[in-house]
Amino acid sequence: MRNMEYCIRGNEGTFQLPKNGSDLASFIVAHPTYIYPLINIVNVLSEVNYDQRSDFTASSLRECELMGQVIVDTPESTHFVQVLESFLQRDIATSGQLRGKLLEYLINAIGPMSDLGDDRQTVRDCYLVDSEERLMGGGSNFDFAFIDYENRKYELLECKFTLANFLDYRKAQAMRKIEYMDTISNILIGKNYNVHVAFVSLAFSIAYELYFLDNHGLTQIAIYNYEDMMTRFEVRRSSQKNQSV
Amino acid sequence: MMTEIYDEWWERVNVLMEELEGTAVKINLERWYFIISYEFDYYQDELRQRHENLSSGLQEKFYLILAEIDFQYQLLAARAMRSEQVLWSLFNFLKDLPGRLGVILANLSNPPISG
Repeated sequence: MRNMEYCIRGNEGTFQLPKNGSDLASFIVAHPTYIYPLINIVNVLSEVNYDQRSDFTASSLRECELMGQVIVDTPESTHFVQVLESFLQRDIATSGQLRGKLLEYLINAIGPMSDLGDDRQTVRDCYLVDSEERLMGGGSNFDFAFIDYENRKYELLECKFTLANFLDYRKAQAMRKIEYMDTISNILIGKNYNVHVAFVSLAFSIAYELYFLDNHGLTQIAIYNYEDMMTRFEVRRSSQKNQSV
Repeated sequence: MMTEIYDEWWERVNVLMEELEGTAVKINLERWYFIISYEFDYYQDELRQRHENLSSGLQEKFYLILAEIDFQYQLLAARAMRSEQVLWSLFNFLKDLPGRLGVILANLSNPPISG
């Protein structure tokens, strides 16, 4: 039997967001502590009028200030409110699609969630093929693959801003995706690759999501949440500091 | 104290569910009740421990934060019956609350660098 090797195919180009999203995304990458109010606001305020939105936003920022994460009424926080409003308008117009793209942008900026090393390749909207370019695991894909071919390490990520909603209310679609993640993981593990397959969500609580996967016997699929994202931002910040020294 | 805070929020979940029972809401209330209660149970001990470790000054700060969260909840709850989309957001708000309180307590104990 011939030695079957696998490869990830997909988009390796620059990640771009529409203008209404890119302003906020750039701001968040530069000021990651604003992710906290962003999550609270985006999760609940897509459907309401501007007055309620501004009251909610102000309260969310006060909450963050009490936590020591931001300082309100500064040019920085004012800028956040401006770019957020533009983002929300676009997010509403696209039925919440922009928030998903924003999460992908952030992952693209911070890199893999595990320690994969710097010598890696990043591919988006990607799928696994064999040595004859045959598609493996069916017609689905991953949002991200971070690959260290030399050391046979793969990190495959699927981003969902609100994972619980995806698992519970788009269940058929979710199960297809999970089955795909599981299949690809097993194919690669079977060939002795070091594979890490996970969902990335901006939820604070993920106990139910872990229960859901466990209940379906899918314990090899990990879930990263808000705290994990913030840890990666911190790692990125430290690494940038070290490089600039 | 954390137990009382928790009980208070849990009472809100129960009141909300009672109010919704028998209404024409199409959302699966039983399912949401399970999801929210699962999160509340899962984080309870960890939150109690994190809260106990806060100094009295930081506990005061924590109560001020809770007041903001309460304000946000009231904003949402006030219009929850107007649309199922808002109700769904309210359920998500409650589901995420235990983990969110965990993040708050962790940040109060070990504040991040701003910016």
